[in-house]
Amino acid sequence: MRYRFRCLLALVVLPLSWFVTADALLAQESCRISVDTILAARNDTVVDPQLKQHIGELQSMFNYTSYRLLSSESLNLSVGQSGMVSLPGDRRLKITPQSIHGSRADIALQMMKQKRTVFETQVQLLNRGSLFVGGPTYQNGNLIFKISSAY
Amino acid sequence: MSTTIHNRIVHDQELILRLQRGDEWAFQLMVRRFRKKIFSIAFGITLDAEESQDIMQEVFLQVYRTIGDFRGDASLATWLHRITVNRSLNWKRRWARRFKWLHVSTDSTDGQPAVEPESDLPSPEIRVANAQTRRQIDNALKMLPDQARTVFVLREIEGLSYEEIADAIGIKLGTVRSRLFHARKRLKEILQPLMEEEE
Amino acid sequence: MTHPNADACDEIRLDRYLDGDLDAGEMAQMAAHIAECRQCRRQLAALTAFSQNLRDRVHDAANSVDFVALEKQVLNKALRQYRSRGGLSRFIASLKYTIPATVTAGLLLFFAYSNYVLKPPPVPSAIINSFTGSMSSVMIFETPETRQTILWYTEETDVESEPNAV
Repeated sequence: MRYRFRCLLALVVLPLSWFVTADALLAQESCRISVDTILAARNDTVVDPQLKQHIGELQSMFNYTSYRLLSSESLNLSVGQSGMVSLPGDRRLKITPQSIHGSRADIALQMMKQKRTVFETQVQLLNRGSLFVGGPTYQNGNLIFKISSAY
Repeated sequence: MSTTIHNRIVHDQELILRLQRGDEWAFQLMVRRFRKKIFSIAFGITLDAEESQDIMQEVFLQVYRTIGDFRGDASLATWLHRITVNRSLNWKRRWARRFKWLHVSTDSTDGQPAVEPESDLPSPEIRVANAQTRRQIDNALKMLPDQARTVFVLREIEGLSYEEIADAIGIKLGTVRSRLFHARKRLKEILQPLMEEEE
Repeated sequence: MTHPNADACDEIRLDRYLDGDLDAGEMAQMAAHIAECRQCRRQLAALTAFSQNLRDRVHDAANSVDFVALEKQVLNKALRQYRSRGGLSRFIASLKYTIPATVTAGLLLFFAYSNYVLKPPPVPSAIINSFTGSMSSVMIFETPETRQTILWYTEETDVESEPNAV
């Protein structure tokens, strides 16, 4: 009886301790960055099913009728480590998590087009939150980059 | 004699083991074996038949609840006697506090006990005589202090030895003798007028 | 003189004589004294009679008790105790598993809820600390409900392409 109880206790404590330690320690040193490239246009009314959940509120903000997911890329980056994402139109986005504290991660973003830096920014991104960066023209619409972090 | 005692002790031990295992039959056997003894002790102390029945039930239920803690330091009978005495005295103390059960002072300066006046009814009738005797006994017992009465009851009703009384109450042998002596001395004082009447 | 040998009267010895707590010699000596001493004889008779009456009194009281019915009552009460105690112990035993299971479930729900289900609090999804670059224009705004941060810029070479996208 006592043995069974101890086993049960171990079964309870171990996953919880994993939850706590993994979440508190490992996640503090790295984060997962995902970049979704969306083409917003006005020529049709197609909304990519994968995007419906994420851009519902954006639709009321932008004057577009169609949203297409062109690409999706994820990077697991440690703090201080840089990652590069290729974007349409010979663009690249360099992402560098600089620190993680609490519910936000300090991330440096550098948008480049060809060899030229378009902008550099430092953002504090909410855990499981997204920053929408948009504006560049592409084909018959505009590109929107949904940059999300999770740790 | 020693064989009988030995057999009885062995039998009690078996009974205790069975009780500790939760054997219903053993509990029933214990109740049957000790019910009259327990009632008699309780009645000797409380002089109340209904309360004595309640005390008897409480004693058995306490034994049933706590038999697991019984270490066998004393015999089952001694343990039962002890519980019965404690419960009876507790009942009496409670009762005395609440309802002033005992009105008669035991500090009578003239040495004359306060005996209830005799009945005016004709004494030849047996029932009346018995009732008078009962009343005299009750009154005399009520005049004894609790401790002396308890020892006297265990000795005279149950016929326990000094040693058994000492074990049951948790007092020394000398104290048993002393209390028994004082109980009888007091009874003699109480019964003195009756003895004179009979002369 | 009713008591010819008063010096020999010993209440303590009389007491022990009553209980048979004297050796054979003492018993014989005491018996001889009682045979001669009226007072001791009366006391002995009174105490013996009282004890016998008391035993009769208790015996009569016990005879009027329905022990069979009482036995049933006691057995029933004991069985109820046993069942309730068993029930309680079973309940307590079940708590040994129920409580940790409940706590685990609660914690898992809490973590799951806070990590996966909980909607973002009404704070900006991103805070722009610095922004530098060579662009025609840049705007930072957020959605009204979930406060999703939006950074909208116009590249220099694209000035004419989509100036009124927002």
